[in-house]
Amino acid sequence: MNLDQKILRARAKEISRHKIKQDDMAESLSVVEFLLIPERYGIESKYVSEVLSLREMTPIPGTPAFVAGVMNVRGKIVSILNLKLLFNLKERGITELNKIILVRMDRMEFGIVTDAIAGTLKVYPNTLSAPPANLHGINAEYIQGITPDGIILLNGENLLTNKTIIVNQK
Amino acid sequence: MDKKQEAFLLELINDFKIEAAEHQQAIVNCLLELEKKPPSPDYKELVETTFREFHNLKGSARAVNLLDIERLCQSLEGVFHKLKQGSLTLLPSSFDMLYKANDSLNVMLSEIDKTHKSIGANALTQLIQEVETMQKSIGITQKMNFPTPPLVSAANNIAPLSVNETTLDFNTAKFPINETQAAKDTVRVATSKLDILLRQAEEFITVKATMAFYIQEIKKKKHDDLCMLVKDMEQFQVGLSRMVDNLLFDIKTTLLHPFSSLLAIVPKIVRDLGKEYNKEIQLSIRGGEIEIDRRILEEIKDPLIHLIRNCIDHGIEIPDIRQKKGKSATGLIEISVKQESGKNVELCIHDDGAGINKTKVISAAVKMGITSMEAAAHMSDRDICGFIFRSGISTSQFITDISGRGLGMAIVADKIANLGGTIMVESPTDEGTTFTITLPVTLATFRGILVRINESFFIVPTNSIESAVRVHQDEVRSVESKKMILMHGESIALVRLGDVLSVVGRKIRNKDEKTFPVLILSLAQKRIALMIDEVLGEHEGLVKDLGPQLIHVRNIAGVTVMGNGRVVPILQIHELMESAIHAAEADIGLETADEAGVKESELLSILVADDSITSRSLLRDIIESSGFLVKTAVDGLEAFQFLQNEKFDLLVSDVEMPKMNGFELTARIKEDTNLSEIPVVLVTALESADDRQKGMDAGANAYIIKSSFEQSNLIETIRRLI
Repeated sequence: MNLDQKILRARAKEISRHKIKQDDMAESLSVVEFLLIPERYGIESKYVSEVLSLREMTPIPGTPAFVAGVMNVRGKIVSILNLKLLFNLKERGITELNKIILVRMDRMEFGIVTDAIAGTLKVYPNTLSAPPANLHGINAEYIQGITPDGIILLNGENLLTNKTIIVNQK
Repeated sequence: MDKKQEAFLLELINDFKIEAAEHQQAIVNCLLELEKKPPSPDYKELVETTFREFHNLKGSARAVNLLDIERLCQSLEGVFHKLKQGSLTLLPSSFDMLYKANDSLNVMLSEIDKTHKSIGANALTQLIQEVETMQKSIGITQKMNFPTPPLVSAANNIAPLSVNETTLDFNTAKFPINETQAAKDTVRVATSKLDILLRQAEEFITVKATMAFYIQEIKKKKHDDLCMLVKDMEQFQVGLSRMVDNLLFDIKTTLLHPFSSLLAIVPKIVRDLGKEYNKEIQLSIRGGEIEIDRRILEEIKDPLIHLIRNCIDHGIEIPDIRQKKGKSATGLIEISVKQESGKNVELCIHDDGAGINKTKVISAAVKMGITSMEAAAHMSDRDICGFIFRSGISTSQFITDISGRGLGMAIVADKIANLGGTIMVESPTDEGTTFTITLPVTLATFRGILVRINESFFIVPTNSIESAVRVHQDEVRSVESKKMILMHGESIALVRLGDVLSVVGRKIRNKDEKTFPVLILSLAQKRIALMIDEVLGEHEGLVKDLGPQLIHVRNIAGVTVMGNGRVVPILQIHELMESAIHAAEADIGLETADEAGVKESELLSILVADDSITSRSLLRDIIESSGFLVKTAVDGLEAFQFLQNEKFDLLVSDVEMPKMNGFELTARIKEDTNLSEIPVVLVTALESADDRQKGMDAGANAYIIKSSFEQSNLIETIRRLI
């Protein structure tokens, strides 16, 4: 009897600890960090479906400059966007731009060229600061905020639902 | 947990959409039957079915919490409940109300996912009120002189409920039997799932091509030990090809759909348009059971609607005129589907209206400059009718674009041609018009010609190519500022494909050649000559779209994946022709191209080695724009091979590369007596003193850090070294 109670108490403790942990997790965002020299960017990993190496890309004539081309991902064709050109950032030197982050939401999906993938990290939304006014003219709606260590957290939803990104020349 | 619930609800809503579409179609069918005169013998059964359809739709809508849809269904269900009871009867005017309500319901169903609803709360309430008023008003006025309450006599009015209930039971007893029978040998699968299966099966076409490509590559090696292996592989490839073809065929057969699923929309369209134009029309549909690729059905929908609209707007006369001509006041539209052979299906759309006015067609064609009065005099009726597929004619008074979809007859013809089908029109005077469309049963795999422009590749659909010829530059004439070539006595505008598409990149042209390859394209009897750099052969494959972000790119129909994995854009010929006409206005500048060709040989050439495709093209753009000739290599090993076979004035190389890195490459160049004089510029992201030292040790002449790099910096360095 006594033993049973002990076990039950231990379990209850265990469960409550899990609960606290889960609550913590729910508050933090899981973010994929990537490099777009010289800046560090992040996007919530719930929008990231895959990370790929860029091997071959086919430019499509007649597309806006921010569309770098299309690539074949296991039989599916996805377009690849260059955020620097989309954000009107100045090209600073030659960058690698050979890693692709595939992002998706609902039916929208495209790749983003990056210089390197830095990994994933947890970001607490309440620690985010508003982007400084002089942030290279990036459209503010694309940015969710700046993390304490200076990562520009993109607003995945706005990026993926923005109608101006869609090319439809019909 | 929340997310799971969200996903579950989403799945439910998707199921609801499929279900709702089926209820909708059944309701429309019932309404059309009910409206027929004299009243259908199945009147009671139809009322019952409609009631059940609204009732079920209402229940399903409530289950997924779509309350507006539920409310509207409820009021419509009420109407049919009263009809069932016999306390209400349908007047011709009530059908307009019912269609209106049902159309609104349709709109609401199509906007489930949208946040913005075109039918607001007020409009909905008003609509529901209208439906309910109809219930009351007709109920009162009609109750008294209700002629023959369907099946249930007035004497039974004392206990209408019980009588109705027994008949209801009787009727419902029939449905479950049908359903269970159908359920035994069919399985309901969402078409989206079948599409995924098909896509995966189609992927094997690329596997087939890739296998063939590798066998060819191995054969080139000519190694004795490989011979046997290659033979085995070839045998395997034959077997694989057969398996792939069979698999694809079977999956495509699974995806076949009866025409009736498309033709089901026609009665409603004919009814609505007939009302709109005050024309009485009888519709006859045959062959709805014949099956065809679902994707073809989807593609053919707009052309079909356009043709039917034309039949009603321009074909069938108003009753007065018809009677004057001695025809029955009611016009006839016949749609028939016939299986022509195992591979083809014929879709005929016939009306018994006035037919095509040939005089108007000829005058429009002459005005457009397509033909002359003299030539037209010798033409057969069929040829004259054929003019309506020319895009200019569709804007004439003869065919106005009433559909509002911007879908002229030229586009109808284009769409059908894209599906691998044909369209013909016949219109003997006063006997009406017949459009005969021949379609393949399954979507054929796509065929095209692979062409090169500078360093880019494109596919031109084979069915649009009339011929591929070599043209000598002396054969090119200038008519006003346009370039033309003469083919079989016809002048054809000549344009450079690269200019139409604004293709960038390095020009690869043999300056000694006085001739160049030209593709003659023809579409709906229009011709154009496309100047390209090289024809590389035919390709069989799949048309893939460009992904959800690139919905439509002008001149591009999609892409295809080659055997070697390369993704190549496929040209959209209809748009390309339009773009080409604009491009033809500009001078294509043959002469300047030749001058550039001579200059090329005097340029200094630079080799760029970088494994990153973006860096590679960026480096090339920068260096090329400064007037150098650039060749690129994907790694150190390839760069070294190029250096041994060609003469270069300088090498720009990345450090981190597979197979052979920049340090190794530099070291090998400096060790090679023939190459040691070539200056090497290392361009790298590595920013450490250690690496700089390593580069210097290997013998590099310059070391530039990418991140701190300025364009002029690199060009300046290059200029300093050569």
